[in-house]
Amino acid sequence: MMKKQHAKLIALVMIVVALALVPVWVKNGYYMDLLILITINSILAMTFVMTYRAGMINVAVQVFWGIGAYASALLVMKAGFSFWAAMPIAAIMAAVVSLALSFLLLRNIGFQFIVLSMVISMLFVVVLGNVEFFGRYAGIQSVPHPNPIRIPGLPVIEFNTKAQYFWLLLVLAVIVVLAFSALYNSSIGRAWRAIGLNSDLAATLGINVFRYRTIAFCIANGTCGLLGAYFAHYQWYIMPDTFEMFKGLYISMYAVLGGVESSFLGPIIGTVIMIAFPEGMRIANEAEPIITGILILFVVTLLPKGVVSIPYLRFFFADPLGTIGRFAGWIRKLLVKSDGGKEA
Amino acid sequence: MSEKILQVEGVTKRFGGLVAVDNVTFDVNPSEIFGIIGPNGAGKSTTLALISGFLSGDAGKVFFDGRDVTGFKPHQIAQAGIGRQFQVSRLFMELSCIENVFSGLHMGYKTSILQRFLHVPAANKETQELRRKAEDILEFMGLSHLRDEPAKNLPHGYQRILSMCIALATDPKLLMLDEPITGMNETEIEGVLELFKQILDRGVTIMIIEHNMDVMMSLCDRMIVLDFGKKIAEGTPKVIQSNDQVIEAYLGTE
Repeated sequence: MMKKQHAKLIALVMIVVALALVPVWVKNGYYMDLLILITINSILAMTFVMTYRAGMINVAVQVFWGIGAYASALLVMKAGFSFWAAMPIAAIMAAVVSLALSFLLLRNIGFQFIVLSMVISMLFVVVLGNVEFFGRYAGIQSVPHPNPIRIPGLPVIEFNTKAQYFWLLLVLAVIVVLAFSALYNSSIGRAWRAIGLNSDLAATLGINVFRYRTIAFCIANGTCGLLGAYFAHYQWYIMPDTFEMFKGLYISMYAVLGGVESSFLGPIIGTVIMIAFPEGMRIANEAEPIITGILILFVVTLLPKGVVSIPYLRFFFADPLGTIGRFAGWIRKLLVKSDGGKEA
Repeated sequence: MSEKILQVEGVTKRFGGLVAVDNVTFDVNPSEIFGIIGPNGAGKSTTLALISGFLSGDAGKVFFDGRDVTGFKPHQIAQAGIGRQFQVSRLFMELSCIENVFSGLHMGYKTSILQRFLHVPAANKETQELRRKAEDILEFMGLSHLRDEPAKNLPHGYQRILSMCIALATDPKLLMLDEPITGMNETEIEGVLELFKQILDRGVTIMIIEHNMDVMMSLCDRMIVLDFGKKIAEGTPKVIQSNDQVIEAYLGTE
């Protein structure tokens, strides 16, 4: 048990270090934007998986993402808050709105939940687009950069370049992943899983299904709010169109494509494929959505548990050092062989 | 009055024009095996759903351990101390046996959600203890050799026993079993009957719903018979066996 945890931690550290070094080589702004976009959406897809674990299909992820974005932008620009105060407040606001909505949405999580979520998604855009305070359909421009962090004795940490933004996002991502995995490994995560697998049986075991669903809904959506706050300041402007209903459907697609049974790897893989592939297919112009659509159809049909169910991908996470060791050994063998087979 | 562990008073449930359970009243004594029998569609499972909070009744009251539990939600009923097993083996099919039983120990936590999220030592220790308790229950019910097997791979009889393990894990005072021996062969039935006696020795009262008359006659201390939602007889197996109405209900009027 502990060993498995260690292995995952090592895998996480290796991935984070590798990602943190990317901006050192990649100076192209376009690729940095793509990387940031993929990271944000991966985390949004992870929150989808969290609610899915507790048996909910949340197609309104983008609403809470948007609440975070607008809350942080308005707090900073109109109320004069520091970004570092506005970001957590934005997350809490998204969570509080989910708490209020949970009484409306989570009593019955069948079709009603999905349809109501869609209605809320549409209302959200309409409200943002028609209220002067939210800047109507033009949105909010010139959202300032996060305030520089000044620690005495250290150089000032500023957030002006894409690399700096990306590093900030990585820190947020690590916090989210660690917090989510601590939740999944606690009794809360087990209660969610029990509810997701069989909510009637879970109730007879004394699990308060509604309360645990509400907890999942609020934590997941609070995380979306956090990411929304980041997004508003990174993007520099926000507008209602970004948070329309299709965005939520896309996020659920990322999770399903990658593998909704997998807490982290699935959402990441799904997002990478769904964002990187269409970008790479830009050369195909009008044919791009058709090709992407067909690809998704094939993957979902052939791999109902998502891309993550391809066995090779799991090796690295089960035993990262061993995998690299084996890979190194394999390359060494190849080199030795080309050297004239000294080993034999 | 409060000596009774469960008192059901005039419980009624209508589905549209159909009266599924019609003014049913009965008591269960502590440490007995109480049976509810009746032909298919007599309202047995509906009665059980009414007690366990999955359905809300149109009339009547349910008292458990001297406390009014009418209108409680399923998880509140479980927290009050009524465990239940479902008619169709309802399990967490994807999870291993031990994880299934461990899920049943959810109410065993004394530490707060926050403590468990932060994995403080007290919470970790408690989790360890609960894990050990889950092992004990599997051992007690004779399933420890299958501990890591996913529930979906188990044969039917074992799935039923596993669902009893989960119900037992909630540490109930009253255990309600819905057709626990349906679909089992005779050796399996014997094994389960032996288990019932051991569960009884733990101080748990058992309520069984079954339509297999023969087994119920030898097993139960007392029972009621339902037919078309109405209680038609109550008493010891001997009394039931000689009741004309019961014979009529089971064999038909001709």
